[in-house]
Amino acid sequence: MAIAIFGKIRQKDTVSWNTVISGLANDEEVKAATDCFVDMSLYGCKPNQVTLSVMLRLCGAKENTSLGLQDLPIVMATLRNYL
Amino acid sequence: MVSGSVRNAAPDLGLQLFVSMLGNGLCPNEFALASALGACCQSAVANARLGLSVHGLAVKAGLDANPYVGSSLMLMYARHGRTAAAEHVFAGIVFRDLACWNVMLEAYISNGYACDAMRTVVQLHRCGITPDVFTYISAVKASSINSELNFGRQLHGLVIHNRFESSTSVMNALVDMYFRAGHGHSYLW
Repeated sequence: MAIAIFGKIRQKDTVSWNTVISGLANDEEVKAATDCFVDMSLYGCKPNQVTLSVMLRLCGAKENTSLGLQDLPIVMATLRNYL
Repeated sequence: MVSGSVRNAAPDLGLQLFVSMLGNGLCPNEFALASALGACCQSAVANARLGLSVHGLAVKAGLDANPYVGSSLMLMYARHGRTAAAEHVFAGIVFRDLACWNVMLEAYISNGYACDAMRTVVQLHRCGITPDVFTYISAVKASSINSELNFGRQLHGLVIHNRFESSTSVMNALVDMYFRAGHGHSYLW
């Protein structure tokens, strides 16, 4: 439902993306959250400190270590690009 | 001058000016009072006692039932965690505009009284006032805090009905509510 509503937002801002990414992260949908993060950059929305803290928390979570190592470069590259 | 200093992040200067204005024997009007109350919210030194004194002045000037001063008073009490006092001010306002209702909702939510916020939303709806973006954001937040998904769905219906779907902030609040209720992926209503 939340994803469907998110799709209906015409002008998605950083808060919209943050809401979805943190929602997915809380639901432990790691893959979806990471994809969303990549899409956010493609959409042209600038990640802020909230986005990056959620992403780093996701990458740093114990059970996601393998995924974290694999996806951390994306996060780091975005960090370098935007901050 | 008072309003200018408060807006430019110098609440202490604004309060000093307000006090010197009183010292000069001038009676504050609703705008000066509202600015001074805004300064009481922002300032680090000002506490609830100062806000209370300004409330006293407002009563003296006969302006405490003015919606403009009233909403500033409610905001000041909300910031200091005195929801009951904000409620009392709200009850005393004669011609409540939408801003008063929005401040009351905000006061309830920032102090964790989500049930009362929901009750206020229902009252507002019964009064026949058309809510705006801020009302919907507060109302959706209240239902998400209370995990009242049915109430949230009704609000979602109202959002669609009143054509607020183009507002990004309202939609963000709805997305957050559905995620918190555990309806992130399910397409079921």
